[in-house]
Amino acid sequence: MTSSLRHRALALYRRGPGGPFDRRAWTSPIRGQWLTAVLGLVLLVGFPVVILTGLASHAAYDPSLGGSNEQNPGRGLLGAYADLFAWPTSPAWLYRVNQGTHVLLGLALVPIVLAKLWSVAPKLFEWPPVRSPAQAVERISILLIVASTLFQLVTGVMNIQYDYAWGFSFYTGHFFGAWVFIAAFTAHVAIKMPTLVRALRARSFRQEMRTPLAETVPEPPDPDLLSPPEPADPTISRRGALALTGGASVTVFALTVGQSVDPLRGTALLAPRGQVRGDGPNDFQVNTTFVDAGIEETRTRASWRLSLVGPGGERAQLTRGDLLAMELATHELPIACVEGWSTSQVWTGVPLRDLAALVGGLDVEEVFLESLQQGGAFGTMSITGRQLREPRTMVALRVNGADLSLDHGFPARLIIPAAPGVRNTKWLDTVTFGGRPA
Amino acid sequence: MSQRSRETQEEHEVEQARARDSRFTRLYGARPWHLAVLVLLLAATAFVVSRLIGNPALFRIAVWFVGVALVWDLVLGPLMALADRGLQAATRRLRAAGVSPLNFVRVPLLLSMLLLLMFAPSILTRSEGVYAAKAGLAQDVYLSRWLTVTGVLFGVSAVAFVVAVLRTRRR
Repeated sequence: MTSSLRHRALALYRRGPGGPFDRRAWTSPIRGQWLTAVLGLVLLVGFPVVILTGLASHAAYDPSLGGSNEQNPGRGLLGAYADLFAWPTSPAWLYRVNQGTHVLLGLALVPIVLAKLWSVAPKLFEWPPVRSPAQAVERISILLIVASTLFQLVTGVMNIQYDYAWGFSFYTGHFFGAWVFIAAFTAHVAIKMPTLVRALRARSFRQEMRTPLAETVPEPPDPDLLSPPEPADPTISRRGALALTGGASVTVFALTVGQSVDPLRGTALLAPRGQVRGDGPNDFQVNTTFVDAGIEETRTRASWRLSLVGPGGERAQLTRGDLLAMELATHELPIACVEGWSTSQVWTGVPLRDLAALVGGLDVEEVFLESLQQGGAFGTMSITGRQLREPRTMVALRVNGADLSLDHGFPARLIIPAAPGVRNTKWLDTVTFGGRPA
Repeated sequence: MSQRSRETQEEHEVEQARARDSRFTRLYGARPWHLAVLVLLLAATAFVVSRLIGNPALFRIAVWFVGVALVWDLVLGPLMALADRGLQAATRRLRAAGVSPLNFVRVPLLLSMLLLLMFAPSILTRSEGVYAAKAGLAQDVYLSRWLTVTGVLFGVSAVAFVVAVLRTRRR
């Protein structure tokens, strides 16, 4: 009795729970190692670019300055590389291109990732679930690569659309998630590289691009069990599936790229910053409106003074008229947001180093900026000595020939070449040369 | 030691190494470096998690980390497969001059759903308030933009279908 029960249980286990766990349920004739390898190759090229631009973006905040520059105080070794150098100030488009690439490429890779997950879906429902210790460990690593990839894409895609449903800081989630992703991606590449090379060599890409639907046949059985045991008739060729995936990627790119390229802005139909605001001198993208900053408007009027504090306690107070009477510089410089959108505008203002000279603050290694905005994640901000001594770094008063609008930081804002947009403090109140006052 | 016996010794060592390898490989199921890579990965992941211990965000990050994978693997992926099977069943007998309309529906539908998935926060105005406060813009433009893009995708696909039918007829 017990032995027959055991036999039956064993037979049941061998047969598996059926449904998706039955390999015959997976019938797509184009699934196989070759298709997965082609998609994998695209990600193998694309992901390192997204990773490097992401790591660069973290460094672009100069987090060692502390305060709001440091969004991940617990980063330890994982962020130590960012403390090795001060973020450059040249070329001026550095952060714009870095972050545009990070976000636009990340978005364009979403269809490739989803297609690749589709191509390996039968493996999620393998039966028996574990055949060897090696397979068990490898399945954990697959969970890590899939979960960390989706986590990075989901947090990134939601963040650029201002949807913060997660209830944790984007900076924290996306930074630590990135390191799990980097580790899992590296391990996955190391383990799968031989399979990728073998699979790509097994079929000619050119030949595959010439194979129409009528001649599409399944790949031979493979050790990864991707190729279906009982294939259905094909409804799309391999080249068709790749064209669809690539086409999806191009569609996403075409509908978002305009948010980082000024003349194309109106084409970025689905990008958060694809809306054209108008054609006036102040009609470009805003991050944090004047209303949102919660500043009393009277504080921006005649009573406003820019307070300068030197390293030795020297002080100066300048009205907007005083600033306008100084020697002004005009530069075309970008505002480039961590969210990937950017815009280039012509700014006029006083070079920050001229203001530093007034209070003997030219040689300091940190400048602490305070906005009229109280609270807010970026109401105060620090910049490095390198940024201070960059000749184009300025306290801007005018843009495109007109006074700054309240939304763009009137009476005065900082503009630093090559830095993340959020570091260009608006509604400047006090500038302390030598760092945060004790 | 003579030349010959040294060679024999070396051969013996190589054989021993192979035997060790294969014993490990037999038990584990892959070469040792496979295990080494995965142990390094797990160690790296453990280190990242250790940096977040005591951080109140850790639990929520973990929930989202696992949650997004589960939602894709067990909800969205299967839904997509089911929808595709439904579409295949619905168009199985439909032919115009021998051309199946399947891919001419499948492609624009898939692209439209992809765009909805990626830009859902904007299209469904999930973050209207923050968006207005930060960007000073209204989010309600995105629904009609997505519908327009969807319309254009289906329109282009319909034209492509007609062209395909006419071409086959002419032949």
